[in-house]
Amino acid sequence: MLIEVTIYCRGGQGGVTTARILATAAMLQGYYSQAMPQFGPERRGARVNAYIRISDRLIRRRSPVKKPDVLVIFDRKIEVDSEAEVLILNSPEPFSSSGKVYYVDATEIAEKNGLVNAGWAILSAPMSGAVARALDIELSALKEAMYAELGTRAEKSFNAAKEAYEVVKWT
Amino acid sequence: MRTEGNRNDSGIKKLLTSNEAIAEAVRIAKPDVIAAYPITPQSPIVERLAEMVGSGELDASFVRVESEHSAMAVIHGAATAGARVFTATSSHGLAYMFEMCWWIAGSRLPAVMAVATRSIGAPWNIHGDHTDIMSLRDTGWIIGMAESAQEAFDMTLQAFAVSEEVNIPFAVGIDAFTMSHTAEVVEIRDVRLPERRQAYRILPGMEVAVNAVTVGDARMRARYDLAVDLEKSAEVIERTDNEFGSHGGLVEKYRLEDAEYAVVMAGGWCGDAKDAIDMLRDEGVKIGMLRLRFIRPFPEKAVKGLPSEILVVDRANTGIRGILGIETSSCGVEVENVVAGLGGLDVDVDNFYRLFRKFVDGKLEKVEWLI
Repeated sequence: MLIEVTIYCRGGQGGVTTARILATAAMLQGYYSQAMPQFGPERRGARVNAYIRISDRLIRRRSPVKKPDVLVIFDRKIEVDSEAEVLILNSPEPFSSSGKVYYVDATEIAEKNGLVNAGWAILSAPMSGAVARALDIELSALKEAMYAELGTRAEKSFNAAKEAYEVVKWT
Repeated sequence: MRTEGNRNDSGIKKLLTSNEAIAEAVRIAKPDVIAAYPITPQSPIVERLAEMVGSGELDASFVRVESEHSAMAVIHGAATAGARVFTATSSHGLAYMFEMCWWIAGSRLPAVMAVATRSIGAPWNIHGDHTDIMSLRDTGWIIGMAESAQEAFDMTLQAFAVSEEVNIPFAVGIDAFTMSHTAEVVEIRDVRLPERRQAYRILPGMEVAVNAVTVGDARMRARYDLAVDLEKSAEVIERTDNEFGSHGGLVEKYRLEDAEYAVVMAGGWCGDAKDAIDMLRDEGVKIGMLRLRFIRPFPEKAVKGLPSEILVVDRANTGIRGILGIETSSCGVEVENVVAGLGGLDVDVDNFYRLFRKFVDGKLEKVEWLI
């Protein structure tokens, strides 16, 4: 089993952190996992990718994900052309897709929990919660992963992640 | 969803990039002196180490320098006095310290350096290939190339042990970004290294001069001794392999037992290539890989044991040929040679599959560039 995930986000929204949190959580559940940023200069606001791989076997490939099984979209204005089986969307409503669509208003949850930097909602916590739910990652593993990755900043973030985990809807 | 997949080992599991894994290994090695100048994609290694020194987690002197040339000069001086030393660099940084790399090797001083292998300009490019680290191959350094963050961790610790036993500096290569910035599951093993050993020390108050101008055969003998000892370091690398993760010694032989076709490669991109080899194996093609874990000492014996159909895939060139292509053919075997992945040009599982298919179908030119 190998699950490949591509995150579409904007620089500064926390896509790379999301990849690391989820890969750590998967590791804590006994899986091999990998978190990879898009290689190159990252700029705030520019469209960037991050990648996650999760497998029950050692992961050897390290090239960027080309055909993701799961797409995570932080900003629905980002145009994404994909046939992924699962889409996880930051949006109050789903959009039509051939795959299964998970949707949650991550921006609202982030703002409500004070996860804002320079006017930008930091979406890593709520999106991690939504993706964890979609990938069947346990809330306890997510919590441990967030504390491992974020240290003392984790409490507020975990509250946001937990809320997203609980309220995310799917088609 | 829950599995026991990664639960085979006994150490602490962490999700680490190869940069972070190397920093963890250096922490465990307890160096006395670290000197470095930042450069992408190596910087996170020494940033992490600087944090450890700053917080008191690591009791070492961190010397901030104005250039890579100075970084290696500080390492050289500290090593002369008997300090366990570490530095890291990439690309233009390695080019800038190149002169001092010769001095430290020629002075027969143990030292460990991580190289996040990146292309050298022009044209300007921050991405991965093996051009920089291959430039070390004439200096007299031991050159290792890891494939995973786990191996980067294990090889860095082994580097201290081997370097300090054979009095030769040791470079640990990791592929830029696909390793340096990619986080993977790493088992942190709390290895206890032997105390620092070295052939000689010069301490304050000692009236000793080294590296004075040589005449006659002194330089010739020094280079010969270094060359012979570098070859002999192979035995130490093989002997200590099982203390540092059992990765295979000088080489990893992947599905080679009954192979009729052999691919020779080094570095982090071997993982994608192995997945491609598995695809061809599923189709009944008897193909395997000889992964060169070391470029110096060069694994000549393992190359001589390969089947007659050999493809060397290089990530650095000299003239029209790949550097490993030339190194491999110097062992007396015929090879086909492909140069690929320069400047971070992505070579993934599908690309490797198509390349290896062409190889086994006998359709490759003697030398080709994958552009």
